[in-house]
Amino acid sequence: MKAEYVNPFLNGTVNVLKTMAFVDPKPGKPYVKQDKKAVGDISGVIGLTGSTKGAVVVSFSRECAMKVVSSMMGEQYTDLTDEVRDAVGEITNMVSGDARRSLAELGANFEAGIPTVVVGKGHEITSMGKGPCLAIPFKVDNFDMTVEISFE
Amino acid sequence: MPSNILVVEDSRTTRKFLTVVLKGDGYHVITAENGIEALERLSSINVDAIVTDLNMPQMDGLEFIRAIRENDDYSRIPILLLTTEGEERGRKQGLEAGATAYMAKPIEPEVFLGAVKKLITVIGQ
Repeated sequence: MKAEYVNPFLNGTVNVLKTMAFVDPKPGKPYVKQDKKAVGDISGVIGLTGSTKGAVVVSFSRECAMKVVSSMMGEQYTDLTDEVRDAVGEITNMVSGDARRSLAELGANFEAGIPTVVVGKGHEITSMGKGPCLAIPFKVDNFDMTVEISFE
Repeated sequence: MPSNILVVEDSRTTRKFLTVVLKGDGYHVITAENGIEALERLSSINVDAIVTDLNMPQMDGLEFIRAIRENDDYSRIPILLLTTEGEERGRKQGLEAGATAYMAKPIEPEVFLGAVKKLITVIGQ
């Protein structure tokens, strides 16, 4: 995976969450992830095809998902309801879109699939493909979220 | 009288987000999950502007825009097309189909409201 693929996803995440959820995610140091186990409790997954094959996962801790979606929708969520799940899928969709625009400027063109959302502690993301997986951790206030990208 | 805005969007998250933003600015909002539902809504209520997503099941944004432009009763209603970043082809097709303007998600509330106001006050006259 090319190192230049990281920043579009990092910046896309910050842009989407600042613009639509009015929160300020602080990125940490990206790391290589060895297993397919999701870091968070709820994850949005989108497959990417084009210049190469890949996937992006936007994974939130339970608290982080509720914080972000509550802020976005202007009402308090206290559980991972269908609405929170839908919002995580839509956020993943927009992060992927924002990143794809930046990737296109680098000459890498991708089409995105339909987002799926997986819920549960320690859930596995089986659609991440064969390539190495890079995880970018973020803090939203004190809550954790991670964006994982994988390209063949 | 507040202006009536028809929001056509399959994602309930974005539908709700747009509804909250528009209502907060004093608009009356009617929602639909796809083009077919939107055409049903239009048959019973007059709207001042339409905000529609591009990718939707059953009848997508492009088909919906074409249906609007081909109908004498609705053809003058201004339409704002919402796309996800990276959908340049969809945007071009949307404008060709008859969208008045387009905007890429993520949606910044102030920018979105500015675009809707422009649709109604400038283009919709």
